[in-house]
Amino acid sequence: MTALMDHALLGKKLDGELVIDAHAHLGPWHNFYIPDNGADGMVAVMDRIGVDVVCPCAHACIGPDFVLGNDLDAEAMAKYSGRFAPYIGINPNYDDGVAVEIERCRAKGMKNIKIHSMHGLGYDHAAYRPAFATANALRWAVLAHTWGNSAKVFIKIAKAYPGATFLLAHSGVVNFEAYIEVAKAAENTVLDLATSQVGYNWVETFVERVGADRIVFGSDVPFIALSPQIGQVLCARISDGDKRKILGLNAARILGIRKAK
Amino acid sequence: MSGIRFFDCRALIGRRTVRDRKEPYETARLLEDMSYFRIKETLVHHASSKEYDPVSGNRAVLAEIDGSPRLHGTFALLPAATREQGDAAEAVGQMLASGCRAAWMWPKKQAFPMGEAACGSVLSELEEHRVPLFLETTEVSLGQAASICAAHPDLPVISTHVGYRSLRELYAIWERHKNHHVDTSMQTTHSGLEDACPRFGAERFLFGTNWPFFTPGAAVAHVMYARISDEDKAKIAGGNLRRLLEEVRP
Repeated sequence: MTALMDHALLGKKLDGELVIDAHAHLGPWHNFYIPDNGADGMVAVMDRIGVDVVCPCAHACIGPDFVLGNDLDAEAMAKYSGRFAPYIGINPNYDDGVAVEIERCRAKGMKNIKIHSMHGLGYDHAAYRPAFATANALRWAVLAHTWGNSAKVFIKIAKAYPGATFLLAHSGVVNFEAYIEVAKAAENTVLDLATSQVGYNWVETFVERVGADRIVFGSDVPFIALSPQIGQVLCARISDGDKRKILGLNAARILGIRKAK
Repeated sequence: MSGIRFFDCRALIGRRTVRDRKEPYETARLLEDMSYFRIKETLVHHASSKEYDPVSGNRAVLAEIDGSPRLHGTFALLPAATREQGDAAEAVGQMLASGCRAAWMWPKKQAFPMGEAACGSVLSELEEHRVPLFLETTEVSLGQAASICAAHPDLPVISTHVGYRSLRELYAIWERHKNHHVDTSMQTTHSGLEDACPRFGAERFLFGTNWPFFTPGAAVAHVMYARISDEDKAKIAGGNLRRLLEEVRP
């Protein structure tokens, strides 16, 4: 039992801790109902639990309209100063969907990039290279939606762009060992914990085999509720020191985020 | 929040056919985890009841919970036609006589149709005794569960494994059937408890961990961090399940 675990078991707000949700979204989604899916609803949850910052990529970005999605993220960032640190959502299917969109969003103060396999191209497709090159040059992070073996492509990509850090979204969700293989093979890869599965002993196993410095807390909120995702970290059988790294210290370093409140 | 006493409605004990070695199976480990995560009681079902033979699996669950006041057993039930568990009245009677007050049915795994022709007599017997019936959505869809609720309005039905993407279907069912419930282990829609409780009441949710596949810490935090009243939290955490079990008519 640790002090941080007590917060989860009692429903106590995480005051005085740095908590950054490195994997979030924003807005509605086509195939299911998400109550209160806007920035206001997300902040209500963040304030209840004690999450300082979320790093969203609006659902519109992973769907059909990256411009709308990035604009919604920018609005949230402006409305809630310091609480939203959005990724730039790109879509490699459009001429203006990668380099042009990165520059457009960079002018709004956004940094780091989100990529999603829903766009239909493998991450080793040439269309992604300008994004990886930008992340490499600016030492940004790239959050990539992965699902088991699909994460293995980042062994090669991460080595080709050593200045960038690649966050493997949904680490462990299927083929758990694939994520450990990638993390061990490429030092600039990091495990993101966001998953609806909240598997037994996953956090403990990742910490033991990869190390707490290479793991970030992500929830997928509002795609999924934030509370069980943070519960799996707070209640893991690891030290509070390791929990603090996972909850926020690592993300602050990797994503270049400072606590605002 | 002293009134919040967690009662887990779904934990699976016993050796499973396929196992990820990160996941335990021993009853002693379940009890250890219950203490660690401050879960007072758990309703357990046995892997053998699902994956081997309901008759011997039901004996196994009784042996496993023997002497553990914090554990409560459930029976797996089959259609009555083969008389593997006797007729419907005998099957439910044996279950209640053994002290078990909740049942599971796995029609896909155990290859029987869930309709009234095959299962009507068992469902009617469970309904007469108000025995809660647990059904995985991977085995019995929400639509099928709704049909059971309609045919047996006094039967408490709990759909498990109901994911966070289900509210469009779930709300439509809840508008029509007051005897339908879900467990919380996969019902993790963003602001879902906050949205559903004012519309349908906290009575629809039963706290579930899905042990040993999920970490119980996630399930506990999901309830404790919800922006609902402490009264509703207490119902979801354990009050609803305790009430359903108390309402069973022996």
